[in-house]
Amino acid sequence: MSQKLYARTYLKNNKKRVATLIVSLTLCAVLNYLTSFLLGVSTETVKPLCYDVTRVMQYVYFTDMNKLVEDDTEYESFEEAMGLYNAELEKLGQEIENKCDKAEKVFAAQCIDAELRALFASWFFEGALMDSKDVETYLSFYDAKLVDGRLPQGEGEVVLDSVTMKNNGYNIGDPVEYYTLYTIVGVVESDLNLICGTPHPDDNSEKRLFIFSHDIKNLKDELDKIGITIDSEYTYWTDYESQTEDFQKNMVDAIEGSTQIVYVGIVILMCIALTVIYITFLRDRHSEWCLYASIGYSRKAVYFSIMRELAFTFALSIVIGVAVTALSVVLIDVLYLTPHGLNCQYLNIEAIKDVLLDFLVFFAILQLPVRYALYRIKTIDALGDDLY
Amino acid sequence: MFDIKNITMIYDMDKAEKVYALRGFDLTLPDKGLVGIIGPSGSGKSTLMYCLSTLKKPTSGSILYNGREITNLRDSERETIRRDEFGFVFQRHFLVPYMSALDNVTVASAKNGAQTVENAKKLLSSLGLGNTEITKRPSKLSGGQRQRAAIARAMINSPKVLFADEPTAALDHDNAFLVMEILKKYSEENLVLVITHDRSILKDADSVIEMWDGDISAIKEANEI
Repeated sequence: MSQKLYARTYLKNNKKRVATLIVSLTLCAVLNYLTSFLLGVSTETVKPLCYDVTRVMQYVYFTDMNKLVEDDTEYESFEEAMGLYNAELEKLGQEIENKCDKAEKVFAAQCIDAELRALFASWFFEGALMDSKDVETYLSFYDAKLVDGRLPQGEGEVVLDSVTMKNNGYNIGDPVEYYTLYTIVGVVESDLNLICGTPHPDDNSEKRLFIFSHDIKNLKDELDKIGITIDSEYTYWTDYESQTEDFQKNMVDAIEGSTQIVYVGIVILMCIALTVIYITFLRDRHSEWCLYASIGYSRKAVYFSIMRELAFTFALSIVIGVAVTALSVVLIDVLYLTPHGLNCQYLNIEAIKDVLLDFLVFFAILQLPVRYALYRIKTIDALGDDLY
Repeated sequence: MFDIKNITMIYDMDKAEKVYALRGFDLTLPDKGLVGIIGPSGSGKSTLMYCLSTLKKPTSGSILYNGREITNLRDSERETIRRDEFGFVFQRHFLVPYMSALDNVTVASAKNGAQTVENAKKLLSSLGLGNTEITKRPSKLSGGQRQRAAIARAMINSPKVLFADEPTAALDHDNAFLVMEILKKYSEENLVLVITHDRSILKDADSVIEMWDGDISAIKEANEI
């Protein structure tokens, strides 16, 4: 018998049913990919802060000032104590700049931070407040160029990079709150997120060390080499290694956990929905297959015709899924992410693998009702009322 | 064509009260001609057709088809013989609802390709279904048109034996007459077995087998009908 049961006869005559399956499968593929894509926006947006900024700038401050100023004197005012601490810190900064070959420039400056808001997370990053004459030098380490407004000149003025401006919805003239209010006076263009400016007289916070270097990966080790000890008990610092570790733990792992939960949830729901829908379709075709068995088709022939139908349905779902997903991703990026200063990754190989795995799982699960339907095939005496 | 020896078919073999559908009889059927099998409901005529067409396996006895024992064939062999040698016309048409009349015919074809479609069109046309009708689904066809499509499906492989189970039961008088005319013509070259409880449609049969309670009560030749 060379004759086989063609899948196309069913497919072309049952467009609504086939479309239902294709829409379900496509929806699942699109949902799963977009979940990964959208959750990935957080990591993609924050990643440059952790990986790229710390390749240029490391910063350190003492959470316990007494570790830097070893003095039992009781000061008359907080300002007096702070002045002493800041002076010691500047000395330390100078020492680092002189002794550490890898340190290109060290700023002892007050700090201001800015927030980068990703879709499902946010990340704070620090910048220096310094004398206005040092601002250009500071910006040069970021390869930053002023593109709008002006550089900080008076007290309490800051500039930010354009992405952070967009991300926060800032405009020139807007205030930025950090202990007190700072005013945005300019926008710079840089591959890195940055904020810097001039100190505000109402801000009495302690200074910190901003160390510019393209070679330092582990700040503690580098400082150890020149006889300066920092310890996490009384010091906080950021460098490439600490930030990437922090990023992996607090961002990538956390997002991955959420992604897996959403992913598994979608797959389970889709498995149930698809199986229920498909069982209904199979049930309606019982008599048709009994007829085929009666006129001489084997169960194997029926099975392969069902598999051809399914394979076509799955293949078309993948094609449509790819098109819909690509369009969705581009639209989301153009209409929302880019205007909000958010980064994304269009092509996510892991997510593609997951979607293909979903399809394999669905295909495997649908074998169960198919096998059961084949098992129920009888011949002529089992033909029901659903044939004309 | 068929040589049947002591055929029995017992339903509910495991139960105390067994149901004898066929009680053990011998029968020989010719290579061609229109043979009617008549009898009331439960007389065993449908069971006999199922056994002859390999759709059911008799409890005991022998059925030789062209000298070949067909009661002990493997499933695949039975499927092959049904596809290659037999055609079926059922009482209720049993057309696949989502297929056109043409697709309902070609789906049963033992060959693929454009030639099959052409053959199916010719066959449907010879049975009175025009180009418009053959593209319609069964729900859009009349009872007579459906039955003619079912007959075309049965004939598409030019089977040596055509089994027709109550082929006119769902039809009005005119359509019933037309269907029997088609079957009679086909029986000139092949064997057509018509199962019915309506004696009037068998007036042109070459022989009629009368069944009663699982047994053959009489066999009448054309001149005795």
